[in-house]
Amino acid sequence: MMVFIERFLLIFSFSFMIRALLVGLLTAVSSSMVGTFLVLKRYSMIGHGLAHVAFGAVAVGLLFSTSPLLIALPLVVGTSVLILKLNEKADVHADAAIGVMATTAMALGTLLASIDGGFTTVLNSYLFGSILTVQWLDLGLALILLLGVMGFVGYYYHSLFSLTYDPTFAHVSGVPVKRLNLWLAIFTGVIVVVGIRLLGTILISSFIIFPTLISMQLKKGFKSTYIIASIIALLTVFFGIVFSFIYDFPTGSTIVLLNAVVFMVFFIIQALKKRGSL
Amino acid sequence: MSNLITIQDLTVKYESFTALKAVDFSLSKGEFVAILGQNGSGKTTLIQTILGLKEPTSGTITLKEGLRMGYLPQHYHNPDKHFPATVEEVVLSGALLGQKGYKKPLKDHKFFMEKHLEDLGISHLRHRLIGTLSGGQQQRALLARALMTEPDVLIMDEPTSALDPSMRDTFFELLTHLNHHHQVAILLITHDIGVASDYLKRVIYLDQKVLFDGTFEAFCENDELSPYVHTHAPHKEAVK
Repeated sequence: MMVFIERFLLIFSFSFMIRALLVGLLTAVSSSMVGTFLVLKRYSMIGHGLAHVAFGAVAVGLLFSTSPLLIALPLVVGTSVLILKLNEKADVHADAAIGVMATTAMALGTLLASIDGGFTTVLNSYLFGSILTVQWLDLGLALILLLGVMGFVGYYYHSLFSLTYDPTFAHVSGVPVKRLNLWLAIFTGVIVVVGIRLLGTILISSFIIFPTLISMQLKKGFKSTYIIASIIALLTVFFGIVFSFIYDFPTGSTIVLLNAVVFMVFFIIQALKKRGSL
Repeated sequence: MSNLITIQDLTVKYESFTALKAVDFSLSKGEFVAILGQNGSGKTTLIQTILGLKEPTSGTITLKEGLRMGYLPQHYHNPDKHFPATVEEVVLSGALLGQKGYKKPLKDHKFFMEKHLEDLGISHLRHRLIGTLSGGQQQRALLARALMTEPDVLIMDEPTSALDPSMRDTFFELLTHLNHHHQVAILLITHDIGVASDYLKRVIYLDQKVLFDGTFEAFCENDELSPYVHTHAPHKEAVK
């Protein structure tokens, strides 16, 4: 136990760990706040698709810059908006569009890495994330993102609830549905880019999906589900990073698996409750 | 009477198919109007165009300035039956959805919500998740939500189709109360004219065009439309 506490306290003596914790916690709250709307609108796969697009975008960024995320940011946000627009047109299969864009971007990233050759290792670190690569710039971006998300959700909370539950009614009642969907798409793109240093392109969508899915197992109303999802996101990211440091596990995988375990526990408790065993 | 909605020469096409052709009618304050017609006659298209969900191919729809429309869709069920929202949250959203900034519901909102839930017989379900309610209960909750918008006109697409027969009369009585005492105009699509006929003031019969526009009694006496009356309200034909 003493060793555990010593290792835990050691975290705070490394600036890269403090950066990682802060970026992780800030991004977790942003992801959960936007993720609840995405999950309930059945747009969960947008996050997953965008993460793959981000891989290709990072490869392009590495070709031209030492700050590839700044190049990736407009590319991923643009793709997110494009997916939304395709989704709004009933004659296009959005899931197919996401699949095509994601695989094309992954292929592009791999091709660019093979041509240049110099940044294959760096690019691979974006696949599963690397806690060592988190920079102060990421912390700034994560903070701006959270403030933006909080302002957006705080201002449009009631409209966002309505358009998530029943977009037709929201539209008829004068809610600017298209404009709010556009902002959701923009924030999703930014969340993916800010989060990939920590979780990597393969795992980032779990940031968006898991907290809401876990919170929904409690069968509460919207406001409670929303708040609980953010708390779950904070706790799983905090303990995920702590455990990964103490036991020398990969950070992204630890956070995702911790979420998976918490989900299973909540799911089983709910199933037992339903059967009357609890 | 001032018109709340004025429709002039409205045509709506889906590629080569014409759903509505040169439709004209207007709706005034305090009216109670049913749109009748066979399946595929353009009833839902008409309502969706009024609500701004479809673009007219030609013609105009003029809404009175500041008109508030309440909408109750046909069998609306969010596809996610685990959607985490209580009946209370969904109903209150009718009053809150336009608000900017997070604000708690006012006492007035809660008062009206309780009144609507009680009138509709679902007060005891307020804390249940909306997806766990039966189709009829959800329909009543959504009517309560539409009423929370304090509409000038309530537009409904087959609102009684998910209700059991005993609830249908109660439903129409509530609409009549709103119509008489609060001057809310009612515009609804229904096949349930057996029950609705006791409450209707005006009937519009649609088959791409408006084939009839008048009182229900005149509608029943119209020989050309007797097959429709025979199918949907045989007892009214017997009275005739």
